[in-house]
Amino acid sequence: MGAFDPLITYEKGTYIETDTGNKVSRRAVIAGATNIILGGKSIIQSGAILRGDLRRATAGQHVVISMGRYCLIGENAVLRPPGKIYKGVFTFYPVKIADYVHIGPSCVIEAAQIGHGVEIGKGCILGKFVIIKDLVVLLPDTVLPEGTVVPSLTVWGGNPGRCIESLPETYQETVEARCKGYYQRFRPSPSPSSVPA
Amino acid sequence: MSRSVQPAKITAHSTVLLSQDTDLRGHLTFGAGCVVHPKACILALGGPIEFGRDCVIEELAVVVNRGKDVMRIGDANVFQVACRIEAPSIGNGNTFQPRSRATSNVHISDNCTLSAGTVCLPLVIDLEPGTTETLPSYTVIHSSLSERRIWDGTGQSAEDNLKEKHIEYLREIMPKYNRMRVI
Repeated sequence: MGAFDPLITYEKGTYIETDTGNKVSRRAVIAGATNIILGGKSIIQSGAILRGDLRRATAGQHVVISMGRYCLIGENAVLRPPGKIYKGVFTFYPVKIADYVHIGPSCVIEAAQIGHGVEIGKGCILGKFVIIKDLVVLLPDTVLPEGTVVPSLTVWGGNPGRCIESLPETYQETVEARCKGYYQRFRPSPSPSSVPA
Repeated sequence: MSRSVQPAKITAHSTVLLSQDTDLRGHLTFGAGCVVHPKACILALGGPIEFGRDCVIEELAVVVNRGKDVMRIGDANVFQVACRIEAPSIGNGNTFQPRSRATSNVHISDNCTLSAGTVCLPLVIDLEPGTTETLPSYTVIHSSLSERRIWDGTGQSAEDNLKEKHIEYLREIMPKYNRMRVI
Protein backbone atom coordinates (compact mmCIF):
# COMPACT_ATOMS: atom_id res chain seq x y z
CA MET A 1 0.00 0.00 0.00
CA GLY A 2 3.06 2.21 0.05
CA ALA A 3 4.14 4.75 -2.50
CA PHE A 4 6.42 2.28 -4.26
CA ASP A 5 3.88 -0.42 -5.11
CA PRO A 6 4.15 -1.59 -8.70
CA LEU A 7 1.74 -0.26 -11.30
CA ILE A 8 -1.09 -2.43 -12.53
CA THR A 9 -1.07 -1.87 -16.25
CA TYR A 10 -3.47 -2.66 -19.05
CA GLU A 11 -3.23 -2.17 -22.78
CA LYS A 12 -4.50 1.19 -23.79
CA GLY A 13 -7.38 0.33 -26.08
CA THR A 14 -8.80 -2.41 -23.88
CA TYR A 15 -10.46 -0.12 -21.34
CA ILE A 16 -12.91 2.72 -21.85
CA GLU A 17 -12.47 5.67 -19.52
CA THR A 18 -15.49 7.86 -18.79
CA ASP A 19 -15.52 11.55 -17.83
CA THR A 20 -15.92 10.66 -14.15
CA GLY A 21 -12.89 8.39 -14.25
CA ASN A 22 -14.59 5.01 -14.47
CA LYS A 23 -12.52 2.42 -16.32
CA VAL A 24 -14.61 -0.26 -17.97
CA SER A 25 -13.06 -3.13 -19.88
CA ARG A 26 -14.29 -3.66 -23.41
CA ARG A 27 -14.38 -7.36 -22.67
CA ALA A 28 -16.83 -6.94 -19.77
CA VAL A 29 -20.42 -7.99 -20.53
CA ILE A 30 -22.80 -5.25 -19.50
CA ALA A 31 -26.46 -5.95 -20.16
CA GLY A 32 -28.94 -3.12 -19.72
CA ALA A 33 -26.29 -0.41 -19.32
CA THR A 34 -28.99 2.25 -18.90
CA ASN A 35 -29.92 0.74 -15.53
CA ILE A 36 -26.39 0.81 -14.08
CA ILE A 37 -24.89 3.78 -12.21
CA LEU A 38 -21.17 4.01 -11.54
CA GLY A 39 -20.13 6.68 -9.03
CA GLY A 40 -16.80 7.50 -10.66
CA LYS A 41 -13.22 6.23 -10.40
CA SER A 42 -14.49 2.66 -10.44
CA ILE A 43 -12.88 -0.16 -12.40
CA ILE A 44 -14.69 -2.99 -14.15
CA GLN A 45 -12.19 -5.57 -15.33
CA SER A 46 -12.38 -7.88 -18.31
CA GLY A 47 -14.82 -10.77 -18.34
CA ALA A 48 -17.02 -9.28 -15.62
CA ILE A 49 -20.76 -9.65 -16.17
CA LEU A 50 -23.18 -6.97 -14.94
CA ARG A 51 -26.86 -7.76 -15.36
CA GLY A 52 -28.57 -4.40 -15.50
CA ASP A 53 -31.32 -5.89 -17.64
CA LEU A 54 -32.93 -7.75 -14.73
CA ARG A 55 -35.00 -4.83 -13.51
CA ARG A 56 -38.13 -4.30 -11.47
CA ALA A 57 -41.49 -5.30 -12.85
CA THR A 58 -43.19 -1.92 -12.56
CA ALA A 59 -42.97 0.61 -15.37
CA GLY A 60 -40.60 3.59 -15.38
CA GLN A 61 -36.90 4.15 -14.83
CA HIS A 62 -35.20 1.84 -12.37
CA VAL A 63 -31.64 1.68 -11.19
CA VAL A 64 -30.64 -1.97 -11.03
CA ILE A 65 -26.98 -1.72 -10.02
CA SER A 66 -25.67 1.39 -8.29
CA MET A 67 -22.05 1.63 -7.34
CA GLY A 68 -20.11 4.28 -5.42
CA ARG A 69 -16.60 5.59 -5.98
CA TYR A 70 -13.30 3.70 -5.99
CA CYS A 71 -14.98 0.34 -6.55
CA LEU A 72 -13.44 -2.60 -8.35
CA ILE A 73 -15.19 -5.49 -10.08
CA GLY A 74 -12.60 -8.21 -10.69
CA GLU A 75 -12.15 -10.42 -13.71
CA ASN A 76 -15.00 -12.81 -14.52
CA ALA A 77 -17.06 -11.65 -11.56
CA VAL A 78 -20.84 -11.81 -12.00
CA LEU A 79 -23.06 -9.14 -10.49
CA ARG A 80 -26.82 -9.73 -10.77
CA PRO A 81 -29.77 -8.41 -8.82
CA PRO A 82 -31.68 -10.72 -6.46
CA GLY A 83 -35.30 -11.57 -7.19
CA LYS A 84 -38.26 -12.80 -5.14
CA ILE A 85 -42.02 -12.87 -5.10
CA TYR A 86 -43.59 -9.85 -3.45
CA LYS A 87 -47.39 -9.62 -3.21
CA GLY A 88 -47.73 -12.45 -5.71
CA VAL A 89 -45.56 -10.86 -8.39
CA PHE A 90 -41.97 -11.78 -9.13
CA THR A 91 -39.60 -8.79 -9.16
CA PHE A 92 -35.91 -8.16 -9.09
CA TYR A 93 -34.55 -5.80 -6.44
CA PRO A 94 -31.71 -3.29 -6.93
CA VAL A 95 -28.13 -3.95 -5.83
CA LYS A 96 -26.63 -1.07 -3.87
CA ILE A 97 -22.88 -0.92 -3.58
CA ALA A 98 -21.29 1.89 -1.52
CA ASP A 99 -17.80 3.42 -1.92
CA TYR A 100 -14.42 1.67 -1.66
CA VAL A 101 -15.74 -1.81 -2.44
CA HIS A 102 -13.35 -4.32 -3.98
CA ILE A 103 -14.94 -7.42 -5.49
CA GLY A 104 -12.33 -10.04 -6.34
CA PRO A 105 -12.10 -12.10 -9.51
CA SER A 106 -14.64 -14.89 -10.23
CA CYS A 107 -17.11 -13.80 -7.55
CA VAL A 108 -20.84 -14.39 -7.94
CA ILE A 109 -22.77 -11.58 -6.26
CA GLU A 110 -26.54 -11.58 -5.80
CA ALA A 111 -26.47 -9.36 -2.72
CA ALA A 112 -28.98 -6.60 -2.00
CA GLN A 113 -26.56 -4.24 -0.29
CA ILE A 114 -22.80 -3.96 0.11
CA GLY A 115 -21.53 -1.30 2.50
CA HIS A 116 -18.62 1.10 2.52
CA GLY A 117 -15.06 -0.29 2.40
CA VAL A 118 -15.90 -3.95 1.86
CA GLU A 119 -13.26 -6.27 0.47
CA ILE A 120 -14.53 -9.45 -1.14
CA GLY A 121 -11.85 -12.03 -1.89
CA LYS A 122 -11.62 -14.04 -5.06
CA GLY A 123 -14.21 -16.70 -5.83
CA CYS A 124 -16.74 -15.67 -3.18
CA ILE A 125 -20.40 -16.50 -3.69
CA LEU A 126 -22.98 -14.17 -2.16
CA GLY A 127 -26.51 -15.54 -2.20
CA LYS A 128 -29.71 -13.63 -2.86
CA PHE A 129 -30.53 -10.67 -0.57
CA VAL A 130 -27.28 -10.79 1.37
CA ILE A 131 -26.64 -7.55 3.25
CA ILE A 132 -23.07 -6.58 4.03
CA LYS A 133 -22.57 -3.62 6.35
CA ASP A 134 -19.54 -1.29 6.27
CA LEU A 135 -15.88 -2.34 6.55
CA VAL A 136 -16.09 -6.08 6.12
CA VAL A 137 -13.50 -8.50 4.77
CA LEU A 138 -14.66 -11.71 3.07
CA LEU A 139 -11.83 -14.23 2.72
CA PRO A 140 -11.37 -15.94 -0.65
CA ASP A 141 -13.97 -18.62 -1.53
CA THR A 142 -16.44 -17.61 1.16
CA VAL A 143 -20.02 -18.72 0.50
CA LEU A 144 -22.78 -16.66 2.10
CA PRO A 145 -26.23 -18.28 1.86
CA GLU A 146 -29.39 -16.37 0.98
CA GLY A 147 -30.30 -13.53 3.31
CA THR A 148 -27.10 -13.46 5.40
CA VAL A 149 -26.48 -10.17 7.20
CA VAL A 150 -22.82 -9.41 7.84
CA PRO A 151 -22.16 -6.82 10.61
CA SER A 152 -19.52 -4.12 10.27
CA LEU A 153 -15.83 -4.50 11.11
CA THR A 154 -15.77 -8.29 10.83
CA VAL A 155 -13.87 -10.90 8.82
CA TRP A 156 -15.87 -13.79 7.36
CA GLY A 157 -14.79 -16.99 5.68
CA GLY A 158 -15.75 -20.60 4.86
CA ASN A 159 -18.72 -22.41 3.34
CA PRO A 160 -21.22 -21.57 4.81
CA GLY A 161 -19.59 -18.27 5.80
CA ARG A 162 -18.89 -17.66 9.49
CA CYS A 163 -17.51 -14.71 11.42
CA ILE A 164 -13.83 -15.37 12.07
CA GLU A 165 -12.54 -12.23 13.74
CA SER A 166 -13.14 -8.52 14.10
CA LEU A 167 -11.24 -5.57 12.69
CA PRO A 168 -9.77 -2.54 14.49
CA GLU A 169 -11.59 0.78 14.34
CA THR A 170 -8.74 2.32 12.35
CA TYR A 171 -9.52 -0.03 9.45
CA GLN A 172 -11.51 2.59 7.56
CA GLU A 173 -8.47 4.75 6.74
CA THR A 174 -6.49 1.70 5.69
CA VAL A 175 -9.09 0.45 3.26
CA GLU A 176 -9.78 3.87 1.76
CA ALA A 177 -6.08 4.46 1.17
CA ARG A 178 -5.74 1.03 -0.38
CA CYS A 179 -8.68 1.53 -2.77
CA LYS A 180 -7.49 4.97 -3.84
CA GLY A 181 -4.00 3.60 -4.31
CA TYR A 182 -5.29 0.75 -6.46
CA TYR A 183 -7.16 3.15 -8.71
CA GLN A 184 -4.14 5.41 -9.10
CA ARG A 185 -1.87 2.48 -9.92
CA PHE A 186 -4.30 1.06 -12.48
CA ARG A 187 -3.04 2.72 -15.66
CA PRO A 188 -2.50 2.04 -19.33
CA SER A 189 0.87 0.52 -20.04
CA PRO A 190 3.29 3.14 -21.37
CA SER A 191 3.51 3.06 -25.14
CA PRO A 192 6.89 1.82 -26.42
CA SER A 193 7.80 5.24 -27.86
CA SER A 194 7.50 7.04 -24.52
CA VAL A 195 9.73 4.62 -22.62
CA PRO A 196 13.12 6.27 -22.10
CA ALA A 197 15.95 4.32 -23.67
CA MET B 1 -5.53 -31.11 -30.51
CA SER B 2 -8.32 -28.98 -31.76
CA ARG B 3 -11.84 -30.20 -32.20
CA SER B 4 -13.50 -28.94 -35.33
CA VAL B 5 -16.37 -26.67 -34.37
CA GLN B 6 -19.53 -27.60 -36.20
CA PRO B 7 -22.60 -25.40 -36.15
CA ALA B 8 -25.02 -26.48 -33.44
CA LYS B 9 -28.14 -28.31 -34.50
CA ILE B 10 -30.81 -26.81 -32.30
CA THR B 11 -34.38 -27.99 -32.07
CA ALA B 12 -36.41 -25.67 -29.91
CA HIS B 13 -40.03 -25.04 -29.08
CA SER B 14 -41.34 -21.68 -30.27
CA THR B 15 -41.47 -20.26 -26.71
CA VAL B 16 -37.77 -20.89 -26.01
CA LEU B 17 -35.57 -17.84 -25.38
CA LEU B 18 -31.95 -18.29 -26.43
CA SER B 19 -29.56 -15.37 -25.98
CA GLN B 20 -27.29 -14.49 -28.85
CA ASP B 21 -24.09 -14.45 -26.79
CA THR B 22 -24.01 -18.15 -25.85
CA ASP B 23 -21.81 -21.09 -26.70
CA LEU B 24 -24.02 -23.87 -28.02
CA ARG B 25 -22.51 -26.94 -29.70
CA GLY B 26 -23.81 -30.23 -31.00
CA HIS B 27 -27.33 -31.62 -31.07
CA LEU B 28 -29.53 -29.70 -28.64
CA THR B 29 -33.26 -29.96 -27.98
CA PHE B 30 -35.12 -27.45 -25.82
CA GLY B 31 -38.62 -28.01 -24.45
CA ALA B 32 -41.25 -25.29 -24.20
CA GLY B 33 -40.33 -22.17 -22.25
CA CYS B 34 -36.61 -22.71 -21.62
CA VAL B 35 -34.52 -19.57 -21.02
CA VAL B 36 -30.80 -19.43 -21.80
CA HIS B 37 -29.00 -16.36 -20.43
CA PRO B 38 -26.06 -14.71 -22.22
CA LYS B 39 -22.62 -16.36 -21.75
CA ALA B 40 -24.15 -19.74 -20.95
CA CYS B 41 -22.41 -22.75 -22.41
CA ILE B 42 -24.18 -25.95 -23.53
CA LEU B 43 -21.87 -28.46 -25.17
CA ALA B 44 -23.13 -31.70 -26.67
CA LEU B 45 -19.63 -32.96 -27.50
CA GLY B 46 -20.67 -36.63 -27.65
CA GLY B 47 -24.35 -37.50 -27.73
CA PRO B 48 -27.18 -34.96 -27.84
CA ILE B 49 -28.64 -32.99 -24.90
CA GLU B 50 -32.41 -32.78 -24.45
CA PHE B 51 -33.93 -30.21 -22.10
CA GLY B 52 -37.49 -30.55 -20.80
CA ARG B 53 -39.87 -27.67 -20.19
CA ASP B 54 -39.07 -24.45 -18.30
CA CYS B 55 -35.36 -24.90 -17.67
CA VAL B 56 -33.24 -21.84 -16.90
CA ILE B 57 -29.54 -21.78 -17.79
CA GLU B 58 -27.82 -18.72 -16.31
CA GLU B 59 -24.58 -17.00 -17.24
CA LEU B 60 -21.31 -18.95 -17.22
CA ALA B 61 -23.18 -22.19 -16.51
CA VAL B 62 -21.68 -25.13 -18.37
CA VAL B 63 -23.75 -28.18 -19.30
CA VAL B 64 -21.63 -30.83 -21.02
CA ASN B 65 -22.38 -34.23 -22.48
CA ARG B 66 -19.18 -36.10 -23.34
CA GLY B 67 -20.78 -39.57 -23.41
CA LYS B 68 -22.30 -41.24 -26.45
CA ASP B 69 -25.82 -41.51 -25.03
CA VAL B 70 -28.51 -38.86 -24.89
CA MET B 71 -28.30 -36.58 -21.85
CA ARG B 72 -31.93 -36.17 -20.77
CA ILE B 73 -32.75 -33.21 -18.58
CA GLY B 74 -36.27 -33.02 -17.14
CA ASP B 75 -38.58 -30.08 -16.52
CA ALA B 76 -38.11 -26.95 -14.40
CA ASN B 77 -34.40 -27.31 -13.66
CA VAL B 78 -32.41 -24.21 -12.75
CA PHE B 79 -28.74 -24.06 -13.66
CA GLN B 80 -27.43 -21.04 -11.79
CA VAL B 81 -24.35 -18.91 -12.43
CA ALA B 82 -21.11 -20.76 -13.19
CA CYS B 83 -22.31 -24.27 -12.36
CA ARG B 84 -20.72 -27.12 -14.27
CA ILE B 85 -22.96 -30.10 -14.91
CA GLU B 86 -21.91 -33.32 -16.62
CA ALA B 87 -24.48 -35.71 -15.09
CA PRO B 88 -25.69 -38.37 -17.56
CA SER B 89 -29.35 -37.68 -16.73
CA ILE B 90 -31.26 -35.15 -14.67
CA GLY B 91 -34.84 -35.41 -13.38
CA ASN B 92 -37.29 -32.60 -12.71
CA GLY B 93 -37.19 -29.53 -10.48
CA ASN B 94 -33.50 -29.58 -9.55
CA THR B 95 -31.53 -26.49 -8.59
CA PHE B 96 -27.83 -26.18 -9.27
CA GLN B 97 -26.64 -23.20 -7.30
CA PRO B 98 -23.68 -20.98 -8.24
CA ARG B 99 -20.45 -22.85 -8.88
CA SER B 100 -21.82 -26.31 -8.06
CA ARG B 101 -20.44 -29.25 -9.99
CA ALA B 102 -21.90 -32.62 -10.93
CA THR B 103 -19.71 -35.39 -12.32
CA SER B 104 -20.52 -37.66 -15.21
CA ASN B 105 -21.01 -40.80 -13.08
CA VAL B 106 -23.96 -39.67 -10.94
CA HIS B 107 -27.53 -39.61 -12.26
CA ILE B 108 -29.60 -36.89 -10.63
CA SER B 109 -33.24 -37.64 -9.70
CA ASP B 110 -35.95 -35.10 -8.88
CA ASN B 111 -36.04 -31.99 -6.66
CA CYS B 112 -32.38 -32.12 -5.64
CA THR B 113 -30.36 -29.05 -4.68
CA LEU B 114 -26.63 -28.65 -5.14
CA SER B 115 -25.74 -25.69 -2.93
CA ALA B 116 -23.23 -23.03 -3.86
CA GLY B 117 -19.69 -24.28 -4.34
CA THR B 118 -20.45 -27.98 -3.70
CA VAL B 119 -19.58 -30.96 -5.81
CA CYS B 120 -21.75 -34.03 -6.46
CA LEU B 121 -19.53 -37.12 -6.42
CA PRO B 122 -20.48 -40.82 -6.11
CA LEU B 123 -20.51 -42.14 -2.51
CA VAL B 124 -18.44 -45.18 -3.52
CA ILE B 125 -14.91 -43.86 -3.78
CA ASP B 126 -13.54 -46.53 -6.11
CA LEU B 127 -16.50 -46.64 -8.46
CA GLU B 128 -15.59 -48.75 -11.47
CA PRO B 129 -15.24 -46.74 -14.63
CA GLY B 130 -18.31 -47.01 -16.78
CA THR B 131 -20.72 -47.61 -13.87
CA THR B 132 -22.93 -44.91 -12.42
CA GLU B 133 -24.73 -44.02 -9.21
CA THR B 134 -28.05 -42.29 -8.66
CA LEU B 135 -28.54 -39.32 -6.35
CA PRO B 136 -31.89 -39.94 -4.59
CA SER B 137 -34.76 -37.47 -4.97
CA TYR B 138 -34.94 -34.52 -2.54
CA THR B 139 -31.22 -34.71 -1.74
CA VAL B 140 -29.56 -31.48 -0.69
CA ILE B 141 -25.79 -31.26 -1.03
CA HIS B 142 -24.45 -28.53 1.21
CA SER B 143 -21.46 -26.89 2.92
CA SER B 144 -17.73 -27.09 2.28
CA LEU B 145 -17.49 -30.90 2.54
CA SER B 146 -20.44 -31.42 0.14
CA GLU B 147 -22.42 -33.36 2.74
CA ARG B 148 -25.78 -34.85 1.81
CA ARG B 149 -29.13 -34.72 3.53
CA ILE B 150 -32.72 -35.31 2.50
CA TRP B 151 -35.17 -32.45 2.24
CA ASP B 152 -38.54 -33.31 3.79
CA GLY B 153 -40.33 -31.26 1.15
CA THR B 154 -41.63 -28.44 3.38
CA GLY B 155 -42.27 -25.31 1.41
CA GLN B 156 -42.03 -27.12 -1.89
CA SER B 157 -45.11 -25.51 -3.37
CA ALA B 158 -43.69 -22.07 -2.51
CA GLU B 159 -40.39 -23.02 -4.19
CA ASP B 160 -42.15 -24.31 -7.29
CA ASN B 161 -44.26 -21.16 -7.42
CA LEU B 162 -41.12 -19.00 -7.18
CA LYS B 163 -39.46 -20.88 -10.04
CA GLU B 164 -42.54 -20.58 -12.20
CA LYS B 165 -42.96 -16.84 -11.58
CA HIS B 166 -39.23 -16.28 -12.06
CA ILE B 167 -39.16 -17.88 -15.51
CA GLU B 168 -42.37 -16.14 -16.48
CA TYR B 169 -40.81 -12.79 -15.60
CA LEU B 170 -37.57 -13.63 -17.40
CA ARG B 171 -39.51 -14.39 -20.55
CA GLU B 172 -41.04 -10.93 -20.37
CA ILE B 173 -37.88 -8.96 -19.52
CA MET B 174 -35.06 -10.75 -21.37
CA PRO B 175 -35.96 -9.84 -24.97
CA LYS B 176 -36.17 -6.14 -24.05
CA TYR B 177 -32.46 -5.78 -23.28
CA ASN B 178 -30.71 -8.77 -24.83
CA ARG B 179 -30.28 -9.88 -28.36
CA MET B 180 -31.99 -13.17 -28.87
CA ARG B 181 -31.07 -15.94 -31.24
CA VAL B 182 -33.62 -16.36 -33.97
CA ILE B 183 -34.63 -19.99 -34.15
